[in-house]
Amino acid sequence: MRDRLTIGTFRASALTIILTLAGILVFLVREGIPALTKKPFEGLRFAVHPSNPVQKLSADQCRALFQKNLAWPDVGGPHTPVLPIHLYNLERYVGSQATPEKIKAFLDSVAQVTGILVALPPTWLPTSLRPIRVEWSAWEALFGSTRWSPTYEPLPEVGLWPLLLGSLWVALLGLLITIPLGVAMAIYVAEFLPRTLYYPMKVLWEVVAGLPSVVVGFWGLVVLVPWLQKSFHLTTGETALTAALLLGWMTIPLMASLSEEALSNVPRLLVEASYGLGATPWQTILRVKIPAIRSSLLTATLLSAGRILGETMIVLIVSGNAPVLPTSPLSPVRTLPATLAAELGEAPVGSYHYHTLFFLGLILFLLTLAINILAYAITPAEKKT
Amino acid sequence: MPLRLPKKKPKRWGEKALTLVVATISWSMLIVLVGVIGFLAYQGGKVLSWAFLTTPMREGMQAGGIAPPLVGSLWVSTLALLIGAILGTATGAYLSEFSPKGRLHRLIELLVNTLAGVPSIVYGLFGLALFVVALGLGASILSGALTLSLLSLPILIRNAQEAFAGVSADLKLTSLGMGASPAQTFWRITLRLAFPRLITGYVLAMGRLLGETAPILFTVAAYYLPTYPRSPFEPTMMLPYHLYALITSGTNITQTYPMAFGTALVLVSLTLILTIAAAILRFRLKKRLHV
Repeated sequence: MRDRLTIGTFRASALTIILTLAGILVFLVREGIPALTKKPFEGLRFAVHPSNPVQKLSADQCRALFQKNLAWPDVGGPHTPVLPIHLYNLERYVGSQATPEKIKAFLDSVAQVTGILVALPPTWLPTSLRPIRVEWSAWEALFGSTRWSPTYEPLPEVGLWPLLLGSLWVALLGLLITIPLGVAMAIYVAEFLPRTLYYPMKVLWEVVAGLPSVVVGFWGLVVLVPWLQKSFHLTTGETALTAALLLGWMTIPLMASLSEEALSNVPRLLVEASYGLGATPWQTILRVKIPAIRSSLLTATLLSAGRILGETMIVLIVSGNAPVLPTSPLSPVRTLPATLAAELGEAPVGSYHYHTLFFLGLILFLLTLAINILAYAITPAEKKT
Repeated sequence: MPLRLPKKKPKRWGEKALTLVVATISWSMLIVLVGVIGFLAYQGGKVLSWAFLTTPMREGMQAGGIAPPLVGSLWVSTLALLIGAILGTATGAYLSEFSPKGRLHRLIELLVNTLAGVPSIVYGLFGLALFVVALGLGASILSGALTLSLLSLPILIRNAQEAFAGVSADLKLTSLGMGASPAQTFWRITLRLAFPRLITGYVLAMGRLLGETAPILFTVAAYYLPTYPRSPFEPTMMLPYHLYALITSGTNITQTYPMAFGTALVLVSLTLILTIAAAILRFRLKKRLHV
């Protein structure tokens, strides 16, 4: 009886692991998918003057009209300047303490202007205006644009590419640091380090890997950022390279310990055969051992990439956070996790912005999941514990 | 004809140079680490005092101490460790001692590995969606602790698995052979012998939890709340987020920097002490077990 209770309890707690992963997936999907199905302007109606022949606008056209980057004739409208009115510029016209009556009177008066374009809640819409349709394709907004300004009113821009490519760019640069240095350290520890120093070296790795990332980011901000700025004569030292240097450094222990383990487990037979043929220690390392652990090195690389892709605080603090497409190692970038950390706190629960951020989270989750499963799949069967 | 041996061993300068390169790279990691910690210790040491640790901040975080975030961090991490340790140890025990090594076992192992690679910010999102919003716990110590406990599960499970598997099979078999049931064997023999190793894992996990920032951003951490939490349903300040707030959103960065250095020093010392304590514990255990 007690046996069944013990084992049953243990099994139940093991199942929480399945629940956790399923839960993460379910909640990210539940909160993220509305970014594909909802429109950012669900509570708003767009309308124009009745004499305006325009019937429908694409989201980009409409946004450009609001920003006055396009004029009415460009979209087949009248030859008059655009007068954009929406919830966020209304205040400029009527003051912040306007009564509903005053707002209504103001709206009714501007409704006479031929070039008017409004985006307002249905109840506020002056009855004399004619509603138009604004087309929104979530797919195009997310993947067809390279601009990220998710809080722009009334039509946000949620192009994912700057963030996605920013993440990949930082990960790539970080790996360029992590892989060679990590492998070099693994070789030193596995081949040349005196045994008495083996354990202290492992502890050193553990300490580096365990440093709080916010502290490393802070150090980078006060030491590395000014230094890079000075030595490369940059306008700002907050660049993709800054983040990659710190991230790469923090990920070296992971790369090194996985590679070291693999190096130490190369079959003795191979090593002795190599020495027997007259190979030197380094010839053996470079021509026999490294080729023998290729798949382990790939696993280590994948896991390191996953770690770098998911790291949040360092990037948030030192990478400049500019959501633009990265063009060089010295350009500022913004990554997926940094965007989540910076913006989710300000996005109202249930808003379009909130759902878009969860959609980003879903992408990040699936990306790291794929990397981890791939790493697991290429690990030789006998090493899966 | 006499055998002519080379007079000297060939010098192999290339080999020596390569060895020197990898040695330099390896030890430079120590130099950088000492540089980072030394810099923080030097700058942070200027503000560090007993009062810094025991009083709340004043004047919009530009003066005073860091007691509320320190207390908050300890609260949340301890609670998270408690939940994580119970779940993680039980799961580790199941995987190592009881589960039939079939498909379910492999699935759980795969999931543990996968969860270990999930970015911590994703746990933050999950915690926000599930604990804060769906379960209505709000931004509170409980939400944060639950989120962090899930994050710590993979490390704690692996640690427990290794701890239980490390207990000599002879002892387990002897116990079973004397008529003890599997559960009795687990409670009386395996758990007791694995205990020191389990503790080592908890210490290490605590070190990690104290430094985590991303998962607490939306689930618990308050930007400015200079009081001490009275129940697990209240939000609290926490050290990592306090540091982040100090360096990014202060109105007068140069005035908040000394406070930031102090906070960073405390945070890094806590994680350093716990990581090294775990390492020493493990080292002593290793010695004992080899006898």
